[in-house]
Amino acid sequence: MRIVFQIVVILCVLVAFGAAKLRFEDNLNQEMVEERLIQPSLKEGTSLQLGQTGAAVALGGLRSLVAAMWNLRAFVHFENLDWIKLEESYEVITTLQPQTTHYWETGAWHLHTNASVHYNENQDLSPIRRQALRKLYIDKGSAFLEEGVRQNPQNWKLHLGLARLWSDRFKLPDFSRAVNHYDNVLATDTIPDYKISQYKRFRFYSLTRIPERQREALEDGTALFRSTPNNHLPNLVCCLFALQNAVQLPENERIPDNELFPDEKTQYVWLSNYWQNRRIAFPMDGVEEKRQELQAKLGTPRPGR
Amino acid sequence: MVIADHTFTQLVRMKVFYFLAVFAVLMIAASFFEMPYSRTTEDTAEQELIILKSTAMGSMAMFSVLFAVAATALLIPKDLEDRTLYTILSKPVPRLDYLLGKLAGVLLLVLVSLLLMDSLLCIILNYRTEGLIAMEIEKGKALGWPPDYLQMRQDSISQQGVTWDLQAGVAAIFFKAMIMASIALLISTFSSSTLFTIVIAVVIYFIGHFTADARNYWLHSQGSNVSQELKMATQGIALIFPDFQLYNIIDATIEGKPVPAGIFRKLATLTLFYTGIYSVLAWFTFRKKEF
Repeated sequence: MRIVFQIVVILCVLVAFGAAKLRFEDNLNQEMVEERLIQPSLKEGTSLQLGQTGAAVALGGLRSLVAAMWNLRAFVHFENLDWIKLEESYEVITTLQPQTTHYWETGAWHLHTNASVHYNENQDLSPIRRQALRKLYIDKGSAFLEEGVRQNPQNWKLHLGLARLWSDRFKLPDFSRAVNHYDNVLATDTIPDYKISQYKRFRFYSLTRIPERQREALEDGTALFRSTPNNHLPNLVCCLFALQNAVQLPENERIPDNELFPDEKTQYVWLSNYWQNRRIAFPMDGVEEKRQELQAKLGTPRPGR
Repeated sequence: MVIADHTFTQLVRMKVFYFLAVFAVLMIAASFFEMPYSRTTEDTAEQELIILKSTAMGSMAMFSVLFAVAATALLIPKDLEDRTLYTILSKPVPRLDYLLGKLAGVLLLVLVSLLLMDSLLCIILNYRTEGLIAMEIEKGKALGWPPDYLQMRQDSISQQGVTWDLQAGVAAIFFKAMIMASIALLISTFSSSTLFTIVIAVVIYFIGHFTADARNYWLHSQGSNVSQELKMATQGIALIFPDFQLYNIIDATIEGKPVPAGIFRKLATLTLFYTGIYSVLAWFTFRKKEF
């Protein structure tokens, strides 16, 4: 009887203390979420499984340790080429540590690069099946990164992962999608200042490869070229040269060759290198003609094709 | 103080520090971890340090909570078994002093263990950070990186090394252990077995990680989808159990995020309140207990 009385008193005191601390804890929780020190509660519609979420919450302070262990375990699945278990492992890992960029990046990389290449090169499968599985795993890698972005909208590295994936010519490039992701990279407030110029250029390179957006690419490229001499890079200059030809820009609106290129010999070398990389699908309008014209004028030896 | 000192000595004689050997092996193994070559990205060095810290801090969190719960749960039954409890209580020692002395002894043990583990972590982490910075600078010079960029890389890697923010994470681990020890102390004052105390404390530990979600559901969920039964259950959890999610700043410190001093102070204050209230309640049940 005495124990029951004591427990009732204890519960009453705890409830009273709980009521007093409730607002303090709630405000502290919100303050910590705003400072990104702890994770917000999972919202409705999350694709994460409830069982995993429960485990993630319950593991509490051991999440980092468990995620590190699962990461090692996932590497064993990678070595065994067990992509299903690997995918499951990274789902658990990212549920445990959703703010660790590395886990999202590595999980996605295993899926869109390792798994897709593995299936694509598997001679035991029919060509159609190989293609289908390759695409499936590239899409899975992309979806994995998109889930990471959904949970970490201001993480520029995850947006960049998507931009790189969709502009990778060895996968299934979709340059419109890549441009959107580069826009997202540049819109985050976490991107370091020294990276902005580089990713603006990368965005431009993706834009040049969308035929119907060449005029927009030319405007962006011109703005980049004029913004700083650091952007007077061979590839950017050659893209601008070709885009001006592609959109048939009137002579008076063009950036003249002597402003684009340091001199004619350099122009010849840069255009020749650019021409050799034509498989990358950059615009090539007028490049070969100009190269031949310069070759005839300068008498430069013809580089091997 | 005498009781705390005696409790500390008593626990040390139980050879609890042997676990440090396990921790050292774990740390050394983690320090050898390297990213697969094909996975090297610009921030590989930082990621390697994060994995090292994850392993160490996770182990520290696990060991400290285990210590706090198991050691506290053992104390009163062991004093009863050895009959030292009768000797102490027959002297003019207030029961509150006895309980607080026991709690202080356990917390001293947890603190010393954490300091030893933290020192080992700092030594290995610093060694690894210096090594990675040297490698990065060497690579950067070979690739002709500008001095500004080299400095940025050095700062970025150093941010993942030994910092005061990382120490805030270690302090959060200690805070969590403090609360768990005081909860175990409260349970042990009316429990008749050590196992019962440990099991109930562990259950409270797990429920404590749902408190934030329960409170969130109670205070911030509105509309027709809100179930009244669930709302009442969440009210109970939010009011009775401590919110351990707040102590998960450990994860943020592992990732090198800064912890504002104001937030840290509030967390410390909350911990003192929790420890205080559980200790007072432990005294309430223990004050007239007959042995």
